[in-house]
Amino acid sequence: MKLQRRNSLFPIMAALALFAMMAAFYSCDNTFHVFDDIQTEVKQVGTDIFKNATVKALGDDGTNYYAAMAKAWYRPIAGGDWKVLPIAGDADYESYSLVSDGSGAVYAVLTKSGSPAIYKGTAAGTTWTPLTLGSLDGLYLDELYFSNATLFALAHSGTGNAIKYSLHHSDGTAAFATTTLTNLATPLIGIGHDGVNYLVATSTKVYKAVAKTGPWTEDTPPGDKIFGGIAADHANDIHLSTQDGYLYTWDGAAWSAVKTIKAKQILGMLAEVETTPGSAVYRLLVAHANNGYYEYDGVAAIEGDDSGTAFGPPTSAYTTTIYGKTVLAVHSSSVASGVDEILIGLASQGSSTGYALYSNKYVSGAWSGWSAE
Amino acid sequence: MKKSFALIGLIALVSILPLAAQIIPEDPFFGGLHRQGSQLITINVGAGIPLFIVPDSPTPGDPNPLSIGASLNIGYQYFVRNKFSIGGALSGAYNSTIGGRNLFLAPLSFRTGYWFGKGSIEASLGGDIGLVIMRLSGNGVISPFLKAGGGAYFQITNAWSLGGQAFWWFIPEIHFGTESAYTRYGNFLELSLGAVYHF
Repeated sequence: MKLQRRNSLFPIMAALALFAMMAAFYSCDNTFHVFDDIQTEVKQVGTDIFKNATVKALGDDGTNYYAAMAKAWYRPIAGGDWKVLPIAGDADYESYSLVSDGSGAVYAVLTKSGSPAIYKGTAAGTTWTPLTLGSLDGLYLDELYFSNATLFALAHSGTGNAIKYSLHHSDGTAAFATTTLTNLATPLIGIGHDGVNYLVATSTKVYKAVAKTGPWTEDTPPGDKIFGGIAADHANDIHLSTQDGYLYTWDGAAWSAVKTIKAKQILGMLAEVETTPGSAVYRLLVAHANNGYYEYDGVAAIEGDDSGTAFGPPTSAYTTTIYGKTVLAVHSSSVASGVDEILIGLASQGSSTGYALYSNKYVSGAWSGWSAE
Repeated sequence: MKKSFALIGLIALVSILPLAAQIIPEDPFFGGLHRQGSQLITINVGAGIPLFIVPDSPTPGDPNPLSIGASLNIGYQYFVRNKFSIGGALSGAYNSTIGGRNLFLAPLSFRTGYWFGKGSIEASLGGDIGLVIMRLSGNGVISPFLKAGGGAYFQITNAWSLGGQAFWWFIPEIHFGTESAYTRYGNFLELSLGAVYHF
């Protein structure tokens, strides 16, 4: 029964414990409140169609919200269920891009029986009119953008390394016509208008033009950055995020010095949101790789669950919904809707428990926090 | 949920059965395994049961939106006196929340134990004090950690015993100053099956 005695393992254990403690202290942030965060959690029960799905684009016409998720989906802003949107009486289509113009019209890219089309929806989505493709005829449609009362369409031709992207425009009624921005090797990531100039960005370059048709001249901020998103704000400044954690701002004449959102972090799309409806105080929501978004007030950036968040309290309302996911679209309800609400569209989460669409409504003087649609 | 309770019941049963079944005369130091200078390693795997989370001023209905999870425990003890051991333990546990997140707990603790045995059954009572690393949604927090409980094991060879243990985990997540309102006290129950290796 007697076992052979060995040397004590205490020195080894002590060394391991010391190492573990150092690692722990390095990785922890005691400003976070674990148990409180758990206790404020609300079980998210959303619409099944948004489970493990991708909502790529969002819009509204003052009556309905619209979401592009393989098809166009809609629900009344006043409340109700999300349904497939019949376009021109037909729900047998695929849709991957849509925009709204803020004046009651919605534009959607459709593919019906393999043929692309762009439809304009009016009268609360009950009337859909096909736009004449014009210069888009024969091209593959990629994205729609709406800027300065102009509908832009990004399209490409060719395959593989021979793909060439081009930008086309329409006033929403006339046939699409080509701009002089053609033969791009990489797609655009967005368009902004500063009141005088259009600025469009690819992942590596920014082009500027006064007229929507062009000519476009390159005006890329210095630094050889890779860009993640571009968007105009309420003051017609244009913000450009980078995939290494920085932000440039175009004030109508020049790019600002680079501003740090969070160094070495991948930033994506941008959207400006009013922190309190009617306050004229805004923050940029800046997509942060697959980790939700940063809120940026022009001075400092915080994560969506940090102390001081404008849209997320309690923090669990962010960490159980947006955190850990890729933000693809943010949409503030239009003034015409009479509702103060933000929708956020996310990429597929790879799990059956996450949703692709959440909303945050301003009621009784406070944001409700994100909840599944 | 029924499977979880069935598993917990099994673990609890295995934990207490050895204590109830023995009438063999006591060996004061369990064949020398509990003598001063002896050492042992314990390994336990089982359930991590969230009991309750309360603030400084608890009220009925304080939410505890955690589900039953799992726990793992590896410990080392050295007998500084007959039957009395000190050592350390590295534990791990996880529980999911109603919001679909996972709470990970990794306590690192100093342990004291009192060991005794009868026949082929050995048992221990003890307590731990240390720190726990808690991680939730990518955020980490370090908090004090206390646990108390005991275990019972059936000796199957000179060196090895198999059995189970039950420990109450107490985690005071204390915040100061303007954040003191976020102070909470987490309470968990570890019910686990395990092995003891003497050397």
